[in-house]
Amino acid sequence: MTTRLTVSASSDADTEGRIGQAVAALPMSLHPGGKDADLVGLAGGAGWVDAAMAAIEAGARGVLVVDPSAADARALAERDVPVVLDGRWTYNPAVLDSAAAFSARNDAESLVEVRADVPVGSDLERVLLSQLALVRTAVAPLVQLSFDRWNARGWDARGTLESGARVALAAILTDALEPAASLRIIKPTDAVRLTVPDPATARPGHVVVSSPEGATLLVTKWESAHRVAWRTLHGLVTAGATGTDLAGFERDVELVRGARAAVSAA
Amino acid sequence: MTASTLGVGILGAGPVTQAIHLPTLARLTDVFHVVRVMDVDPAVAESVAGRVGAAWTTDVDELLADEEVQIVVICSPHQFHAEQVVAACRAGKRAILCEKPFAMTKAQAEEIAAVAAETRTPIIVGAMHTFDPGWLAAKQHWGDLITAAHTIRYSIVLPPNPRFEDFATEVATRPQWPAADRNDPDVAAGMIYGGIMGLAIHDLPLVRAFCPDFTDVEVLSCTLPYPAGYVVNLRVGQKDVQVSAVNSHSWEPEWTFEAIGDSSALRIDFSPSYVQAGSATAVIRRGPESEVYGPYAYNGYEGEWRFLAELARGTAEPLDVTELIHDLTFALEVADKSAAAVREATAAANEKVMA
Ligand SMILES: NC(=O)c1ccc[n+]([C@@H]2O[C@H](COP(=O)([O-])OP(=O)(O)OC[C@H]3O[C@@H](n4cnc5c(N)ncnc54)[C@H](O)[C@@H]3O)[C@@H](O)[C@H]2O)c1
Repeated sequence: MTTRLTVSASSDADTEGRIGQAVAALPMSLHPGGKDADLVGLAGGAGWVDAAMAAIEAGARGVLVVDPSAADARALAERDVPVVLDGRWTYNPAVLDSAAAFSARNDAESLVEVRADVPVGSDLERVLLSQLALVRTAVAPLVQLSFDRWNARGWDARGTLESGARVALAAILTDALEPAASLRIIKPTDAVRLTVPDPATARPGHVVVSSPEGATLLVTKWESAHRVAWRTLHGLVTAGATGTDLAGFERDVELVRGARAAVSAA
Repeated sequence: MTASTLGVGILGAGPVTQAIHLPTLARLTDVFHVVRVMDVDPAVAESVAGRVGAAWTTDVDELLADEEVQIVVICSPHQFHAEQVVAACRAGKRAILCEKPFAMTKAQAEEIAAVAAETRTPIIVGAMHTFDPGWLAAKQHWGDLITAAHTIRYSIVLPPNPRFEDFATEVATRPQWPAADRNDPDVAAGMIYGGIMGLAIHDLPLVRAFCPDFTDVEVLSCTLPYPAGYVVNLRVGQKDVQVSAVNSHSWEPEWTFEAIGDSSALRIDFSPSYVQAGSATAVIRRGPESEVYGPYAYNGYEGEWRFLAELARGTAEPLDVTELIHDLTFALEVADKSAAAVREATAAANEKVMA
């Protein structure tokens, strides 16, 4: 039988992360709760680490953070409580489904390209963290990052993966295009292409694996990223596990801080 | 062939003549007929001429002296383009189509401009996408996008040419490319230079159309992907530009051009080179609404030939040769600076390995 856990969320978190909808779509697993809810949803603006610590002090068994901003989350990682970081794209089901195809093609001869089209006025650093989380989840974490450009219209950056694969990262601020991320790996003989829509709806991401034999569209799933994130948190709590989001996030934050400092110094 | 169709002479009868121009001309037999084909390789000249019932020669002058040749198309290797364009102008031809690139140096391009001004010969460069009905339709409808666009992306995933050449024709001979050591900074720089002047050059005129300050070029970085291609981040005046291409045997060829502003954006998906697969499709987006132009029935190859016929008959205004020179100098600058960036990066990486 499914263990049903209760959920509470700040109104910011509810709006940004459509938490009410996600909980309503998991009626056997989750149920709205009050102050003493099992799980707590938080918005990822400044101060989210303190809010998460406070929720855990107050007895929360799991925390979900919507679109987290850069922060020192080490103290949080030391608490043995599962924390799910619901970045813009990470939990779209297409991302996890693409991971095997991507990692099988991740080597020194690979070119990885990732691009985010986001609305004008978006917080660029948060978009970048979501983008790094996307690459980390689908392919592998970046080990090096440097910016060719960082301005009011977006950025162009270059990075590398542990394998030696080269990564070209870009963000474009525009209201003309549908908000989305795209990630692809191109190799001399084959390629994988992932597109991930904005998490506001359950519109599916797509994964296409392509070789000289043809191109295959992987299974398409109409499940919103937010629902998957809550399902994941529920799973971690009931299994007594903590997950890896915080550890990955810490490394990404460090990388971003170094690369941003180099931009401001230049 | 009839007296009322325009006579064409071809210099260089390699894969581009065989797989692109002859199949295009086969769609336009009411407008053109091929009179004479020239190639330095007599076997190629004879075989290709035989396909269209034309005469053949290994001598440029003989072709240019042929009065029935009214239009000259130059499909020889890059380094011969400039001298052959000049010779065709001097021979008093009615119009010239020169495959890209127009020339390999600014000095050559200026010489062409001077001669063309003197002989008043209309010239077009085979940057076929500039004649693609999808691009032309976008141009009519994009409004203020030239100023509004802040970000330009031009991306190619290039399948092996033979895959498409073999759909378009039966190729007589193919050039062989020797393998090279890309860890050598000069080799890496040469690959980038060749990639920009051979491939990126196609749509650099489109990029330039969106970059009014095209003489202010800064290469922010240049990466050489495997097995070949280029990824170049540029600032051109106020515009943020990325020009990229990767050669891949994977099954999804891509050739896209995007110009993106805060509230409007253009994306063009071009059909593959070589095949007669109709025009590009252009989409102009403004948030959730979009306008789609194309695909139209014919591509830029046919577009350039239709325009050439109008030029030869005097029913269209010739292109401004200065614009063609600007296209070339812009390409040369991108190629030079990108090659220099990759040379430096490769040398630095080698030093790191040694240390
Ligand atoms: N528009 C396009 O889509 C497109 C695509 C590929 C190449 N191109 C351009 O077309 C041109 C030809 O390309 P290709 O792939 O056929 O090249 P190629 O080098 O394979 O073939 C060129 C032909 O020219 C002949 N030749 C050599 N020297 C000559 C000379 N001095 N005069 C006349 N002919 C000579 C060669 O024998 C060969 O048959 C190149 O400049 C290339 O950039 C255009």
